[in-house]
Amino acid sequence: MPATSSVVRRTPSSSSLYDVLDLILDKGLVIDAYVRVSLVGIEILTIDLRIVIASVDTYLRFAEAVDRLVLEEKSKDLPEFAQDLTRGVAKGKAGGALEGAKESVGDSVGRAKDRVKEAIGRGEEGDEE
Amino acid sequence: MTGSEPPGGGTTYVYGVTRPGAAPPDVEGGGGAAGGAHDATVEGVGGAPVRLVARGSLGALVSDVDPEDVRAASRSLRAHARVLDAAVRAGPVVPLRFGTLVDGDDAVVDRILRPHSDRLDALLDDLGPHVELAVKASYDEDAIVRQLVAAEPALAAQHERLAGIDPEAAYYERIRLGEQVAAALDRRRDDDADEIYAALGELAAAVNPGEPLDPHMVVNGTFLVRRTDVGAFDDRIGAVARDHPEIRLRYVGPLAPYSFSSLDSSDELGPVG
Repeated sequence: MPATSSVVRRTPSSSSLYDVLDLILDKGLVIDAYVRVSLVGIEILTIDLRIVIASVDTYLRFAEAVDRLVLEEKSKDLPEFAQDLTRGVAKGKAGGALEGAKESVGDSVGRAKDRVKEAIGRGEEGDEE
Repeated sequence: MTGSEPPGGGTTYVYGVTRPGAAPPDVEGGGGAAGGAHDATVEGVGGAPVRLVARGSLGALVSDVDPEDVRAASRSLRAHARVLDAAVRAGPVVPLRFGTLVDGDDAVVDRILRPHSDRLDALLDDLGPHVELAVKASYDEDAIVRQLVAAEPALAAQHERLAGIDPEAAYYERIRLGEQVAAALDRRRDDDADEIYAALGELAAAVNPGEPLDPHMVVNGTFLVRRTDVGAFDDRIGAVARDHPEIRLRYVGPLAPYSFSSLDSSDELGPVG
């Protein structure tokens, strides 16, 4: 048995807006043209959710991540305060590409949500078949 | 649209189609209801109670809705998900697209249940024994970069060359290092994704591999899994987590088979190679 037993818990869909947007919004059976589907703009949302960050910024963040991790390795022998200082500086500077990516996805979910609201507002007038 | 319409007489929101005997017990008109007054009905979009509109072997889960209420997108989406979460726990269900509205209960029968009865029956038969499980696997950045640097001497060498050089002066060289990390990450991600999809796919009747949402995401898939195999799938997820301490897993379900419901979806079923 491994020492760490980090159990991966299964969570229900309705607990998180992120999951609901990603897993449910543009999924499910579309019956036919006679049924009014009150949402437009779903395609826009889907595209927003799938932003893949592959930019110079990402590469620079990766380079900083290498700096930071190599620094951490080397600082293991330093007195504790120096280690903390090094790590603090590196962290503060680098931030972390993962956090950046998460923020971007979070932002796009937020933007997408707003667009859905707008879309629903617009759709309401124009959704009569 | 006002709230003064009789139930089923105004606009009707349709969540999905189930078997009348397998609707959640707290749905009005649903199977297993204790009869009489229900004090714990499932709340639909806008807070209205969810009802069952049945025709033959099919039952639509519906509620009265003021189309204005659908505007509150996040709340409405959660309500949609909540109703279908309850439905898939109770039995077979084919989820309809979020925001499906028809003009009253008569239209539920005339537009949905009657014209599509054969295909809905077939879908309920095919999908009913299954649930959908969603898996997102993402690298922990520090853990994966550490592994990549350890595994690929070229990365460490490039980093050594930049040591002591002002980051501004080495701008393009640093971009080059980042590109190398990204390329190594891509190779690693392809391998890990193949491995995880293979491990989980063994236990699934169908797999829908989605696009990763960010550069750290390895797997963003949904899996159609027999109800009787969900426990084994849970165990397999645990095994993936143990084998990959550098990967964080987000595991959601049981879901209605959202990604596997289309009118011609029967050909998607079956083992995935």
